[in-house]
Amino acid sequence: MKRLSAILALSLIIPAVAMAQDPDTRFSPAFKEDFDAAKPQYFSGGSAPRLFFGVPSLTEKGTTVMLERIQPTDPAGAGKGPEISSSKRTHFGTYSARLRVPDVKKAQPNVGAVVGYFTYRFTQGFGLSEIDFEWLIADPTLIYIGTWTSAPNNVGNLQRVGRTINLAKGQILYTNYRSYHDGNKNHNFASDDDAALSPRTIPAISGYDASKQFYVYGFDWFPDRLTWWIEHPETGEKVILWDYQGTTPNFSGIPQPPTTYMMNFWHTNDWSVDTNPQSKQAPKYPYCLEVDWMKYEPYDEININWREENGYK
Amino acid sequence: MLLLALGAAISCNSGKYPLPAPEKPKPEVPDDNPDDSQEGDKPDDETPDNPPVDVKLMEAFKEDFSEEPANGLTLDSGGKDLRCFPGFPSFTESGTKILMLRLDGAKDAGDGIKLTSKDYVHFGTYSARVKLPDVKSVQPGLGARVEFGPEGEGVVIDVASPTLESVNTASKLCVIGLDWSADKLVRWVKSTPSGDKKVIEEVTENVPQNPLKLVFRYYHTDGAAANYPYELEIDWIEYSPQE
Repeated sequence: MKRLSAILALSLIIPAVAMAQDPDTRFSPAFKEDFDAAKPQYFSGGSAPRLFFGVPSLTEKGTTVMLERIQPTDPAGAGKGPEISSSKRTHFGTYSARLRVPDVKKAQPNVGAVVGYFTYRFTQGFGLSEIDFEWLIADPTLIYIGTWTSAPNNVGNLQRVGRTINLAKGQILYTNYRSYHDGNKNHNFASDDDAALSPRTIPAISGYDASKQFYVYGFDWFPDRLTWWIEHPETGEKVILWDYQGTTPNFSGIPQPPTTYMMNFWHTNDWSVDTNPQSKQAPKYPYCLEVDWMKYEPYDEININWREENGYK
Repeated sequence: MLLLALGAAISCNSGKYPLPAPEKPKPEVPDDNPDDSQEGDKPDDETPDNPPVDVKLMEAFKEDFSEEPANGLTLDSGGKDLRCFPGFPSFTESGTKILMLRLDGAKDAGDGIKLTSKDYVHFGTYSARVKLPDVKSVQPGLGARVEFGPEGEGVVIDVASPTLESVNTASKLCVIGLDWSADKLVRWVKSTPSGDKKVIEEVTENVPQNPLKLVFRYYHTDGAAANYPYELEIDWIEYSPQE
């Protein structure tokens, strides 16, 4: 019996070792930030009047959330509104979050404001590492997903792959790329490029509107594959929005270096939603973004290997 | 012209409304003789000067809304969820817990949120530290009001015109209140709790004599319904009966 117990104990230990938990303390372990406390455990950022943690949801009974409250006085520009960032670096892994953007369609249909659920970090020698989910709240039936990468030593030399979706209609508006190599002109992927264009159709989620309820969004980030998804609100199944394994003539589009995990809400005066070119107004009221939780599940073994192979210090 | 603007900005319920009158519920005046059906025919101006004898009067209190309202106050959200949030952090004053009220779009004038005292209040001083939503840019034509004080006699603010006597009640937490005595009713506003009272209106005729319920209401008028659930903050409500 003792021997059986020892074998059982060993069988529990071995998988734990094999999981190769990342020993580098600069990197975040797996976590789920549920924003139940007055201060987040894994994120830092601003404070009142832009950020509130551990408060009751204004739209869903029994849920405790983080509120990001954009201010009418916030200047235009990414990062100039409320924003949180992970205290530690993150890398390849599965990221997910449950959130609801504010419903401003009646109050201010032409507002120019962006909710960003994303990663962002520039590392000299490795370039920019940014993966995005974005909503222009003037039309919350649309989702903007994509990445930004850059030349290794110049964050100004940008490269983009992106897809825009009307999820209420199950319609892919476009999937394209652009880069500094040819003056940031938009290019469509070749029509037979399955690696870049999968899936080619997306099922509609009936009544999808990011401001009408909370949804769970996420992405699985591997060195050679990046999959954005949403959890179907009724079945709980993952609906794949973009399964990108492509490349472009000058860059792959899949970020490689470590990054920072973030959520923000900001005013744009030069990026209107595809369905409304007028939507560039500054917010006229401090609208609230609600975030129930943010989760990170790192692929530790891949991350450790990547750092070794790429000389990341 | 200035007086005209101020008149449009605020109306105090003395039975006359510079703005379209809200469909407000009739104040609950206690009836100390419910069995006397003939009393129903009595004209209003024959209301007895002395307060009814069987009415339970509230003692002094200060409700700080750090949790669900106590002190004999009850919240009625008008049958809708997610309109009232006691103990919520103030959006505008760090470290202050407030009662947040959110008025979402409603079809009917009069619909809204109502905080009411279980018992009656009478002569005394009433004050509430509040911040109204700033809607001047987003919806200047919003049809919504705030009423605070003895029901039907309190301070009334049009949310779309929140400045009273140069105090903008939508810019920060301010104090609104009134002093009610047998011969005078004075409605006022203060920029800070320790600031000077700025008189909005002083009433010396037809001063109500009967006890009333204390109310705080945030409700729609027959103007435009709210296009967004604009937040109103109440830090505290205080009542000090006259000795």
